[in-house]
Amino acid sequence: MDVALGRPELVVEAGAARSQRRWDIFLQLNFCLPAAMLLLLVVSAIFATQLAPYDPLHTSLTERLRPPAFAGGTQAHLLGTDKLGRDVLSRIIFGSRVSLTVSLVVILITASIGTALGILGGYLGGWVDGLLMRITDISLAFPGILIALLLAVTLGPSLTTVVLAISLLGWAPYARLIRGEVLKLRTADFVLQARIMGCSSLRIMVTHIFPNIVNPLLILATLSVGLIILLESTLSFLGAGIPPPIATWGSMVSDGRSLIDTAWWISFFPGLAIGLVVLSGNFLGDWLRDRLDPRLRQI
Amino acid sequence: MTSGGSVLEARNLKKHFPVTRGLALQRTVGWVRAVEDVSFVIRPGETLSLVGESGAGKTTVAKTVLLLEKLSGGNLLFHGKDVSQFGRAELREYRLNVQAVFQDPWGSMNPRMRVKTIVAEPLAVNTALSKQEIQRKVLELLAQVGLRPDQADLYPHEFSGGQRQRIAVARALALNPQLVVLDEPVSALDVSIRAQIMNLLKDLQTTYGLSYLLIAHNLATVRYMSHAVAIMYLGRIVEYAEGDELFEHPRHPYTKALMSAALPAHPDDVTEEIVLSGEMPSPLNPPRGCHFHPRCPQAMDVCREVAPVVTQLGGSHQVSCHLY
Amino acid sequence: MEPVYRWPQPLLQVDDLRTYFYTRRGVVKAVDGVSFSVAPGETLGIVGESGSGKTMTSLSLLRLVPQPGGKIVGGKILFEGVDLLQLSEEEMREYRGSKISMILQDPMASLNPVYTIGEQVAEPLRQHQHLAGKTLWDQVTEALRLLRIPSPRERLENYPHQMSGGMRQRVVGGIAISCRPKLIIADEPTTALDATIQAQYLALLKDLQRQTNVAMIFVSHDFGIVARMCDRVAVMYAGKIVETATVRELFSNPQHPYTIGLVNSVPRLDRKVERLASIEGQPPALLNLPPGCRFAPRCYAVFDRCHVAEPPSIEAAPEHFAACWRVA
Repeated sequence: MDVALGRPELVVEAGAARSQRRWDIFLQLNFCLPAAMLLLLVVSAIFATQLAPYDPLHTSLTERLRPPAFAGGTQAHLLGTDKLGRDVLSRIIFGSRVSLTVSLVVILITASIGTALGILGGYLGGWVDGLLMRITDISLAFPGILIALLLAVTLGPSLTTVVLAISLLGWAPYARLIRGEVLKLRTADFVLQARIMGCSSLRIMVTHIFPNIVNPLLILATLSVGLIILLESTLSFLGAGIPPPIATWGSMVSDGRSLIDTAWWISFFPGLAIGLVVLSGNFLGDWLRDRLDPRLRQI
Repeated sequence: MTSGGSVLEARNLKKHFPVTRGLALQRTVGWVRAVEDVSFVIRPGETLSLVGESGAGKTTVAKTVLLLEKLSGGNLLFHGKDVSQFGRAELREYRLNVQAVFQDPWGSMNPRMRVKTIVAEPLAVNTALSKQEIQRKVLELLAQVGLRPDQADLYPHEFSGGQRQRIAVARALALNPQLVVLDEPVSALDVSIRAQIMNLLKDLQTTYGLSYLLIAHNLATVRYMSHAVAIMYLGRIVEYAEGDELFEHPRHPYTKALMSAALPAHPDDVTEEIVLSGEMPSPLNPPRGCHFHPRCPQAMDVCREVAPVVTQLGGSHQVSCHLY
Repeated sequence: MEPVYRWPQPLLQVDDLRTYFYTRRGVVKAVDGVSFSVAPGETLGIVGESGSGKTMTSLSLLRLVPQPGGKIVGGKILFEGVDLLQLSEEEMREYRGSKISMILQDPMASLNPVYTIGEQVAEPLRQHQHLAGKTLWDQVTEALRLLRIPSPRERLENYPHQMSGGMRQRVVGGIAISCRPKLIIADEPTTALDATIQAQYLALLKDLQRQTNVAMIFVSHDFGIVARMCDRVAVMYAGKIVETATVRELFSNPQHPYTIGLVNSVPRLDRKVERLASIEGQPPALLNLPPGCRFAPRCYAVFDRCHVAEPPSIEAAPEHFAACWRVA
């Protein structure tokens, strides 16, 4: 065991100390702010129809290019309208649906594939590991956006295309990370003990290895949220994402591009939304990484 | 060493690890001779200790006994039958009967599993007992190693080092093994806890007739726990004796040096100070003749050329040295 | 408490040293009122198990207590009459490596893998004595020679990974001795070494001491090392010193039940022991200690007073102190 220079060995008192630690996370700003932001994202995605003041697809030629309420516009449109008269606020709220859906589905797919391959390669070693790692290397070497665009052109832009494209790029980092962790765990005494008592490789991978890689997995997943949303927005911006008229933050930024000097709010607010969510994901991921420091053992 | 009634017998064990070079086509450029011609017998209810410094090969021997490493040569006989000839059922039988307790009380248990699950696992994997029966057995085992039932729900990190070793012992006993391999079971523990664990192991040995293969580097611990001792140097056994013979009458110069290096129990204890020169050479390229000759204070010309053979010294005492 | 000076004046006099750790769950009193002294050229052993505070004591002497959280909150550390706790960080740095140095347990961690050993031994000489050029390298070679490293001139260009464990620990010793300090603190220096290498190393240190007359503090959990290397011993338990005596006294006539328990629980090589005595229970967690003697929960000779008040250090025999009510 590595004893950090001079740390007195404190035997943790069972039970009581553990539950007390659970409640003091609410005192940490590092957790509360990003968590609140992401909670807002989830809430607005789920309750979009109730929260949005207007139908995001409703166009109105009379209400075109209205500025936000605090910059000369009316209370009717808090964040202004775009060139087709659609309410920006409502479109942002509905856009969160897309962002959330894409994030969750992509994380689910990439984490599952990446983890499975990482555990198999890391634990079994040999040619299995060699093969899986070469596939991972190939995936990481692909120019991501280009592949996404290619897919969009071949399959036609849609939600499925976006999810597929991002997933294709996204599983490799999981595989890499998990494999690294598994390599460390594989030589741990408790894995040796499991072999000595006759556990099959499958049982070892599921009951012994997997629960011990949940922490780095969780951290990577949280940090991926921002990246996925950014990728989705980029694809929409480039026209390879979810096609209009569905509101997505990326396409909103793209739409407002030509009007940036006159109707700045059309690009600004969706851009701000992207930035805030990405930052929140990153901050939360960092907090989680500190929190799950192996020396503290458990969350 | 006679066989009759042994739990485990090792005959001329050999384990060489290949050293490879090259990226794709791995050429073998050399061999690490970790274990070379090691033979011993473990009798029921007795402890055989393998003593040596790092690089001596004792951990490798332990791993081959636990079937974690494949032998490069030699045989392991379990109750007189060759393990390499075992079919699946017999191998399983062997596995259930040979368990281990390792040195590091922190790494030997899955930090995400509760203690009761850890101790239950051998039973869950190998027997068809019901959940209740397993739980009952688990609580029984924990009681035997001095832990309370209410501690079964806790996680390993909530225990001290000594307590964790107790849990490890409980787990090792779950399947009623005949032989337990103890790899430096107390080295990582505090001094005042070591005696507790050593006494526990001895008591369990008496109660259940367990055999132990003890790997240790501390001669005093070895003396307290063993019925027979084998001293290893660079993959070979250089001296072997039963009872207190080795400690009363060490013969091999390396054994004498080890005993001299062992720290005194009292400042007035005057031990013949034998300080060896140099360090243990790499098992990749062991010296010719007797492996120990470069460091031996009594090396003779023949030692440089010819490897010594095993000499019987009366009783069970054996030594591999040209001096005898 | 007035420090008691022995004649001649001790090299190091520690009075009522207290080092606490401030954690979220409370205050850990790692070192709680520790006093001892070391004469010039003498070897003192500090023996204890994990949680005893021995490592924290040795770190406190050099004011290297881990931050954040750790703090020396009281006491005096008088080195050649100067209270180290009153010095500024600048002034303290001049002591570290030149007047007082330290050898740690793991030689691989103590040496920087990207610098040659010559560079690493030269560093304190550069820093404190401002040597350069030929004078510098002569001193470096001399330090390595004192530690019996063969062909020191050629070895200057070696990197740590090119040397064996025993050799590395000698290099660490070389770094420690390079500026000819008056005191070397060795914290479990041989734990990571094999038995025969350990014997070599300890013989070397004893020899070094004879040649340079450096005082040493050996921090260890091993009574055997203490028996071989030390003149006097202090036994620590849960942040306090429970017994101090010359090595001979301590082994022949231990007074404190903890010391007695420890001495009897160590297996013997020179004779067959039927049954080892063991001390029940385990060392206490250092948070929220109960009142009274800290060893009381595990003590075989405990009586009522032990749970109420902490025993002071009582002189059981000349120069032999034990903190136990039984001795009074």
